[in-house]
Amino acid sequence: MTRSIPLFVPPAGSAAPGAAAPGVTSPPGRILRKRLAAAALSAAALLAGCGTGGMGQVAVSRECGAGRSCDRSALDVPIAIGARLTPALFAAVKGSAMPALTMRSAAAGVLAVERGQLVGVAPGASAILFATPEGTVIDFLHMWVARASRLELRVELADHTPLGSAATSIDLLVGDELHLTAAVFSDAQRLGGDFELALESSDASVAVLRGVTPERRRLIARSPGQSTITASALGLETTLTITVQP
Amino acid sequence: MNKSSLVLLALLFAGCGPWFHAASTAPPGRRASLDTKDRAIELSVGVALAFSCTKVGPCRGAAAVSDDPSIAEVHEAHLNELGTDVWRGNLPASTFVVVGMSPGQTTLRVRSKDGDKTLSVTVLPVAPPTVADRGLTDRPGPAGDAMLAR
Repeated sequence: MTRSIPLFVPPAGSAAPGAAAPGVTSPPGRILRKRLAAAALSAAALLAGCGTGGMGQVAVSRECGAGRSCDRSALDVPIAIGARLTPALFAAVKGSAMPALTMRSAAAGVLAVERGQLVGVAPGASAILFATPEGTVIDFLHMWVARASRLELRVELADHTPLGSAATSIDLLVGDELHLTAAVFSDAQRLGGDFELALESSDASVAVLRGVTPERRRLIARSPGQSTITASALGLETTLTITVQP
Repeated sequence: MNKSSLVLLALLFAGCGPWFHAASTAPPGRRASLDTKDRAIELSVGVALAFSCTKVGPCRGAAAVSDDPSIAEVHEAHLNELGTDVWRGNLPASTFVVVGMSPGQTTLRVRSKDGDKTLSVTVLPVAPPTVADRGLTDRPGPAGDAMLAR
């Protein structure tokens, strides 16, 4: 049995946030406090699957609704070409709440910013600058974009609890429901970002319903029979056979 | 101290600083470095580098412009820390972010009350894919930069 092994790289730029640059002296207590705060921000960012900016002042994670499965859209993995991601920004600027920030891509041909969303365009890396409307940069995060080479279907409970990879053949009873999402990979690396999952059923025994989010679909076993479910996303395809038992 | 010594001292001080120090690191497989002695920045396309301006303490009233923003942009940045100036006490850090936009060479001009300096910027094209670009394989690297998870 093969098993997917997603890889996570600790957020870039988290190693020395807040440390005084050579030549800039600070009292030892302040350096220690800043390093502790930066370490706490980095640890929280890593645990939450988000990234810490290169200046250690902004943590970025995916905007995620309550109960929604967010694991595949974390910011510590490359974004798939064609996928979109809405980041949520958290400030770690002592004595100040987060000002209104704008996002700007250093390489829009790799990772574009469209109406507050990050969109994977081409393989590569790009810094995303987080700046005030006046143009003062608060922080930046280097993000990667990769081409997806494999699509894998995932099963979730109705409450969005992920159950893991879907088997290639599933038996259901009439009236059963199945909630499917998809994950995309580039070689061993799981990719992030939101994308639309299209499902088609070859037989009326299984109905496909749109979910409340574009990446989630609901299958309902309506009558005995066998159906091939063809899933497609980001130019990739995979199939799943569902047999509805009487 | 005679007049020539004062002039010599003034000339020495005039040649000292401001100094520039990198305040962030490059992402894997990309370049982002600042050579303080040569005042030379090397960046890959699409990469950002934060750097600070200091003399005795943080530079005062510093502003930076790029001769060619299509090659490298420079932005004022806010770094939430103080630097100690032995004469003036704690001052806010003077920080900028330079961004590699396209391959080529250009110059950053930094003006401040502590003096004006230029930095050369070389923006490098993206190198051939590294291991990290291709997707890390099946085990953590010796540098411990990657972790596995199910």
